Amino acid sequence: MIVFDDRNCMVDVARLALRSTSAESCGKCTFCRIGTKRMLEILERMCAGKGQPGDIEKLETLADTVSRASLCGLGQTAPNPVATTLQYFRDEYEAHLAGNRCPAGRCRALIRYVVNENCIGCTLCAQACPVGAIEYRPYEKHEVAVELCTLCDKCWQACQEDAIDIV
Amino acid sequence: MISCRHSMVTLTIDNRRVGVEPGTTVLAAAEQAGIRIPTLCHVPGIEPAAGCFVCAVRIEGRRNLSPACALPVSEGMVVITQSEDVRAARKMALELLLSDCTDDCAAISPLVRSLVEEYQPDVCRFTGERRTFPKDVSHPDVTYDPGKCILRGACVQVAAAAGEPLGLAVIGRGFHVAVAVPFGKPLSEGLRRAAQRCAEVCPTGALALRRAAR
Repeated sequence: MIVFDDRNCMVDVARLALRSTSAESCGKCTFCRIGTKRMLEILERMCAGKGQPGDIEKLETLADTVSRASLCGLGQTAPNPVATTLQYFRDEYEAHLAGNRCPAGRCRALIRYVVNENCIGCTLCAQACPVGAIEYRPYEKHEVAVELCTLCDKCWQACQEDAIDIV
Repeated sequence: MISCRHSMVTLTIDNRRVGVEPGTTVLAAAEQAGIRIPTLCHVPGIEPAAGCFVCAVRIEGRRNLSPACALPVSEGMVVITQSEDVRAARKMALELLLSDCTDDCAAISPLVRSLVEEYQPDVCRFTGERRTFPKDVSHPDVTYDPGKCILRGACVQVAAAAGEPLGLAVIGRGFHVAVAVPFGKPLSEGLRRAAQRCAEVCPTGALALRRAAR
């Protein structure tokens, strides 16, 4: 059993599941061997912000047919994470596609860290940043230098004031 | 049709009742009933592989599609060979296969060509990464182009049955799985006596007789 929260991107979860199942495929069945690979490619593109119109429909069709036209349980169940995340978290898929946005703040190609008005200038984020992307400004609003930021998430974790947004 | 029920199995294929010997595959039963199910990786006379799923059929009462070339008949089975979802699955199988083969694949193999004509796959629907296709031209009688290989493994079976010391094997797994001679040896060492027969059973001509040898 795996526990997720709202910082886990369900498109990313499906991608990771497909990454392991497509690598485990024995390669005998057309649909499992090539179909899981194609589903993985679509998910990788979406997580990289390169989703294309029709990707969601392609994922749905592939997921349905791969599960119905495979000889063993691997091919039959590998599409389940895709099918169920599409069923329950379709809005996250659509955000990746239409809005080029990752609502969970996980997909690195689609996010930026921005300090908001809650900042009290405690400098905890600047201390936490491993690459010096946040200048020390005691008692003043801090700022993340986008060109230096490596999206490591340390500032978000360090902040006690809910002052960092992932957009 | 003989109706000695204790020795025959009766089933329905596309609303046609047919009685066959127990152990007959759905594909063979359909043929007896005059119904043609398309195939790609089916090679008569050797164990079916059932991997390509071009012969997919729907069995009433089952969610999953079944490969007709390998599924044995059972009493009262109801088989549908031409429904919309079955045809869509066959078309998708071709689209997936053609998304991972050499550009001239459909043109070269008559069997693939006829399937493409019948099912009109959209070859651009599932474009993506392709395997690498290192050709093996080391053998005097046959050439091997992995770009046309659909991983049927008929050649593997035939080489083993012919007692080839090295023969061929399915190497690796997943998307990059490949049929090759074990230990990275060239085809000339893998197929010392079964080369022609292997080429004869290859459904796509990935393993093909050199034109000069004909």
